[in-house]
Amino acid sequence: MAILETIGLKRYFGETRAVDNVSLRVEEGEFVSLVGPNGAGKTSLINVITAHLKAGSGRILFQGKDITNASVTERVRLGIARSFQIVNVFDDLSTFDNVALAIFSRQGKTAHLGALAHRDKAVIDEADGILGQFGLTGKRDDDARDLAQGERKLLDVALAYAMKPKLLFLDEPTSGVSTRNKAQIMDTIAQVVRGQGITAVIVEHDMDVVFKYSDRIVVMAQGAVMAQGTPDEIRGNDQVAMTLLGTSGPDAFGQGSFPQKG
Amino acid sequence: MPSERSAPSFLAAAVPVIAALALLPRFAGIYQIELITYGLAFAIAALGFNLLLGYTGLLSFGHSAYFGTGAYTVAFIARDLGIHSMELSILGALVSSLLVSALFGYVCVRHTRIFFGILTLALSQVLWSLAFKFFWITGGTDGLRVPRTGVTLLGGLIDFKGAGAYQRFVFSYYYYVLAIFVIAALIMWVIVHSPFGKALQAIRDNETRAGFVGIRVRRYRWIAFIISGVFTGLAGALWVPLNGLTTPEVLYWPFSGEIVFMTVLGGFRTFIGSMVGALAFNYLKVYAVASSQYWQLVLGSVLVAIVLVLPSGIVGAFGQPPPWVSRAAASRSLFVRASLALLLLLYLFLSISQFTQAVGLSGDVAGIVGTLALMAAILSCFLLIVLIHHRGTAIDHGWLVIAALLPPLGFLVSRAMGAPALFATAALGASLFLFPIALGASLPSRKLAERGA
Repeated sequence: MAILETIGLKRYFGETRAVDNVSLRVEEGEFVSLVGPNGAGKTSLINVITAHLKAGSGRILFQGKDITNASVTERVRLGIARSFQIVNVFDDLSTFDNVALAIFSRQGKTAHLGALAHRDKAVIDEADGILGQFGLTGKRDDDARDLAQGERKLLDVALAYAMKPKLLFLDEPTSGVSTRNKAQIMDTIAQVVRGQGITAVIVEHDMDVVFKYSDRIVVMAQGAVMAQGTPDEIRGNDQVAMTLLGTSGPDAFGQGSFPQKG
Repeated sequence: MPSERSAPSFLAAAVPVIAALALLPRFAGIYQIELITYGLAFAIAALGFNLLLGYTGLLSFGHSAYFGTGAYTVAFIARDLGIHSMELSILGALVSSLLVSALFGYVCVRHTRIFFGILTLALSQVLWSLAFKFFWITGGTDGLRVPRTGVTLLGGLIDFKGAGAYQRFVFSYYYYVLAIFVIAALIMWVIVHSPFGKALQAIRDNETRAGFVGIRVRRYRWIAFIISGVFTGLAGALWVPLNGLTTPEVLYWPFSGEIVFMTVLGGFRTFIGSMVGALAFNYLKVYAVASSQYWQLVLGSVLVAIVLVLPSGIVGAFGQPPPWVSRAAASRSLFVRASLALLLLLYLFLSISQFTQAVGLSGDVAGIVGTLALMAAILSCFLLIVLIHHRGTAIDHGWLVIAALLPPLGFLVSRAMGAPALFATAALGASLFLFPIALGASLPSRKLAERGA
């Protein structure tokens, strides 16, 4: 059974068709990459699926259940988590508190007024474990605002991961990070996500990264799904190469990465 | 961010303060005891207010509503039910402020920022106008009396009848309010350090992301609003017997502003800031009121000055230093100059304040000038302490400490020995002339100073 299915999903901003009739299936345990030029509607699609934006029309099914009208927190509770393209963490909380908060919330403990957060051994251990997985142990007690850009990106992903989601959306987890750190961050994320059998949908511009990690690639253009398939299928698709690179031919993707955003 | 101290260090810091407050009646007079009782009641209100401002990021301009609800509930219970037990009255006030804040909060938390502030303000003024207009119920502008000596404490164990009732009331009630204050502060400390408190801080930092980690933002804001209102209502209930009277003034918007100010004055980014601010504000206001009928002028000027030089508040100044402090503390020559300037100001203002007393000036001008000068002197002294705290090398500047202490000591000694005020003031003023000399002697050469800076 597909973990996620969208049926004729639409979201327009005036004349702009940000999400235009997208019908998409994501299977359980898949690592799917969402690619496409700037403005193709990748982030908008994720925003609609995670309730950050309201759907104009169409339906969203999660594990066969209609969640089109569910709120953000309802979808989070069902097991949908996401990270953000522009880092979205709790800047005035420590790195540790950021992750601990996500765990408290997942366990329903944020309703507890009479317990001391720093006495909850189970949560502390789990949060420290996650910080370790994401290589953030050294920054445990620093405020999130004081972290380096790459670390902030990782923390953003760690927050989503700490929710123990069934379905995880990662919106450009390596944007704004130096090329050197990029591989390291992607390795970390792929290892953690695959290790837990989490279904992941990732927006990424770096085609090397996309081909390396994806089970399946979905190409978007002008709000609609243009093509989808395995990395090999997409690599051989001339139309996709034209859209993404402005050039085609057998070697198109071999000549380097896709143009970067920002 | 609000202090992240662990329980043991918090208790270690709190115990001496509580012990000092408990021993206070041995040393302080009845008037001071009363003032501090007022301060402690306001501190509970500010503590509740700061759960919203400091921890949830919501600025309420309508907390007078909950304070007033608590106060009027106690008055109604005394008048209409004839119940004078403070415990039952407090219970009633908790329930009524819970109901009012739940209702008002339900409306207000649908909005944030200025819209939230305006809504809280508007709703509080509805209550004010009710208290103002329905005089046959609320006593109108006359308010409702709750005689101080009429109340009983601890389920009737302590009452205030017979000789010396007033004095016994002040001392007993001080301990009563102190005990409740300690319990309230402890409860609030646990709340802000609970997972719930962390969730509030997360909402304050990033509402969107809080939603995406599964926190129901609006509901949590509402709960925080209710807790905040109940604390403020408790403060209002404790305040009534002390004041002996409740009037619509405690429901009026300027009082909401005072609660805001207490919290900002102490520093809303720290846990103890709001409480320190409440005590400090209470003192400032009382002395300003005593100085002249234009006391708002005095209070306003002092508060503007404090916000300008200490934007992070009294307690906040010891954490993240204000920009001018960190600049002055970073360079030796700037530090020396800034501390000398502050010392100079300290003596100047002390002299002015003493001078107005010494020559027996009277009337509003003398009151305003004298009080302003005294408060400015205290502020200068405090700024000096903040500066030395952040420089962290006070021992290097032992002469500075001596220079700071000698003239006021000399002044106090000469006053204590019965010297006329004018003479003492002259001695104090004379020390001002020493400063240019000290300044010249202590400053490193100009070249060195420039390199240092």
